[in-house]
Amino acid sequence: MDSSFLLGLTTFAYLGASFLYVAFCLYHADKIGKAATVVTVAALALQTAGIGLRWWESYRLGFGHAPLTNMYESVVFFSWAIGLFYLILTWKYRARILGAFAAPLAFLAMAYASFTPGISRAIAPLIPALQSNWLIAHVVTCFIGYAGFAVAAALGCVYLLKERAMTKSIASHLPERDILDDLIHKTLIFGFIWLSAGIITGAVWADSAWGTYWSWDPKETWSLITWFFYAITLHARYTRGWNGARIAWMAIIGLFCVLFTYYGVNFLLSGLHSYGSN
Amino acid sequence: MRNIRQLFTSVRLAIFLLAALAVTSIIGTIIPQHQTYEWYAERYSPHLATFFQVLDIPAMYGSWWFTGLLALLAINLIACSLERLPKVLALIQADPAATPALRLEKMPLQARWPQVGNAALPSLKKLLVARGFTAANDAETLFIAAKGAWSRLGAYIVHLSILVIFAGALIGQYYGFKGSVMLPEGKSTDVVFLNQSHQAKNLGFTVRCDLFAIEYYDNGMPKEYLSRLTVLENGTPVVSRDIEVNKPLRHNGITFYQASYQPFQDFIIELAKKSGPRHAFTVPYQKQEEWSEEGLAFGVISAEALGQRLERLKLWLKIGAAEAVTLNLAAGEEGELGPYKIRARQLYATGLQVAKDPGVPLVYLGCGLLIFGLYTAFFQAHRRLFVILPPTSSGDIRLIGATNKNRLGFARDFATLRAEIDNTLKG
Repeated sequence: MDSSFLLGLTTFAYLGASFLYVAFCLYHADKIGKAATVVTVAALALQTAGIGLRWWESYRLGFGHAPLTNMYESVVFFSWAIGLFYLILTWKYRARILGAFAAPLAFLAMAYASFTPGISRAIAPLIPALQSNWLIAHVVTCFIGYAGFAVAAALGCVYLLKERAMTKSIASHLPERDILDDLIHKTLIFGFIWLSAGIITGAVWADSAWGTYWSWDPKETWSLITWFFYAITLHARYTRGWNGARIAWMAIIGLFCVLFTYYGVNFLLSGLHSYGSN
Repeated sequence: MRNIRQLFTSVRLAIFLLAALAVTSIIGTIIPQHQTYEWYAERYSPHLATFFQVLDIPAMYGSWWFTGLLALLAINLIACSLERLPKVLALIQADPAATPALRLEKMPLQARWPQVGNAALPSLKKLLVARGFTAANDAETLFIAAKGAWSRLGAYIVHLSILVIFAGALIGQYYGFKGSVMLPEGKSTDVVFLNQSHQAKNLGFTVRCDLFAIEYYDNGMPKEYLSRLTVLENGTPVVSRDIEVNKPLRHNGITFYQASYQPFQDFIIELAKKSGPRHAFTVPYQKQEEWSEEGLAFGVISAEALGQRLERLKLWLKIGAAEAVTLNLAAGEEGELGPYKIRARQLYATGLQVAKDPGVPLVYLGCGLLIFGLYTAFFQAHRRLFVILPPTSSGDIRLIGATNKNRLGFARDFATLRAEIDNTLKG
């Protein structure tokens, strides 16, 4: 058994959880909801084991580094963070319905990482630029932030669904609007703080590797654009009373900013972060 | 004047500036920066290239209009903060016991219980003290629990942190420099070349590259780039250290980073008598070099490279008038020839990034403040709870609460406290 086997199983477990959550959405059977959560927990456990095993395997190959160093590993970690964050939210706020959006996101991330041609899944040694203690701090802070934003966008979808639900029966199984609104706001804040920490750890790392903490490279600039976007969202909420559907839409649009920063920049623009693209 | 003041103290302007910065920032991520006019003319068109030059697009993040937007944001931050800070400070310093009755009436969370006789009062007071309340007057008719008043400063700490980061960036801009130098092994320099202007900048000391080496993984990927640098002041070595990517050398506030390298067609040949010290010679490909004290002549006949990486080479060596002999060596391997030890490798130049930035500590201080401020602004709330006990046995017992953030969470805590008081009063 190796890590790619475990991570492959994870992909299918998230797929199964996604189906169960959608079924739960449609039929509202508590048993289905419970089964969906159990499968999600299993998926997260498999994924955690897979990431841990991959870490260990890298030591067996003789170079040893945390599995956070290329596109494949970062997407797997992104998916892991979404799963974990979703489960914590469900456990704390009983927002199980959110799983119908969070589990597919976690699944899509895993499927993308596992099946896209051109993404290397091999465990490779680290090039000199990546050999730094800042690597783990930078990647972990960024992806916790990204996962927060992904869950905020999922909550935004739930909010809009609640508002526009065709039938009363679907709407009645969704959390109240003010609770959703509050949760979106909280997850946005959570993501914003971690994104700030991610930008800062990146700046400190850049300074120790290249002697400039900020060089307006496309990745840096896009992370700042994303930061501006969420800063605007939070200011609009505090001072202009934006809430409800508006904030839900901002959370959804924000995720596109995040995805472009994370993914689009690597493939469409060139810059210092080129090692993220393979 | 009043209009200008209103404009600069408005959050609307802040939102506009943030949006303008976000949108214009995209330009520089799509149009490559710091290229020549000819490059833009060829890639786009001469017309566009001229247009770009007028608007400073090739260096847009340092352009007058982009720095102008940043400056406006700074002014806006200062104006907004100064405008609101006095009120906030007054709120923080306000004695909760002096809250006017009218304001208490208007607070969002309210509960009341009809007086149930004095029997339950001692246990109620005990509960309140256990929940962090203190009596606000001698008659013990008002109990208050307030916390996190200072958290109202959170947003202002965030604003301050951004100004601190700006200040650090300005200091770096005016008192620092960024340059680079390509330094062949064995050579030294006391100047570097500035990144923007390409002018020579005097370091005030000398730096020498003693060695450059690349380590490889088994699969051929580079594992480490390493330069051994020696800093000399007035010709005397003061520091000697190996630098790697992510492990720079700092001297007199100037930091040297391993950034690149350049292989040469030349070789470094090290010769030593069996127990003697090594002598290093820089030898161009297929040229003759001499160690005259020993009467030696030698050179490189041929070399095998894998990509740019030297694998093996063939040397010739002539001792005195004797016939020249040849020797095959792997790069870096030590061979013996008569009484001599011989070793050869490729000559490299190390590419150093050289930076001085006295603004960095301030920038990092700003980053720390930013995180602390965000935490305070979002996760700490100013919560106030009041319990009013009637002075006589008639009149209601009241619980009143207000918070400036996280109303749902506060409402939950309020409900818990309310249930506790309920139970206590029921005995």
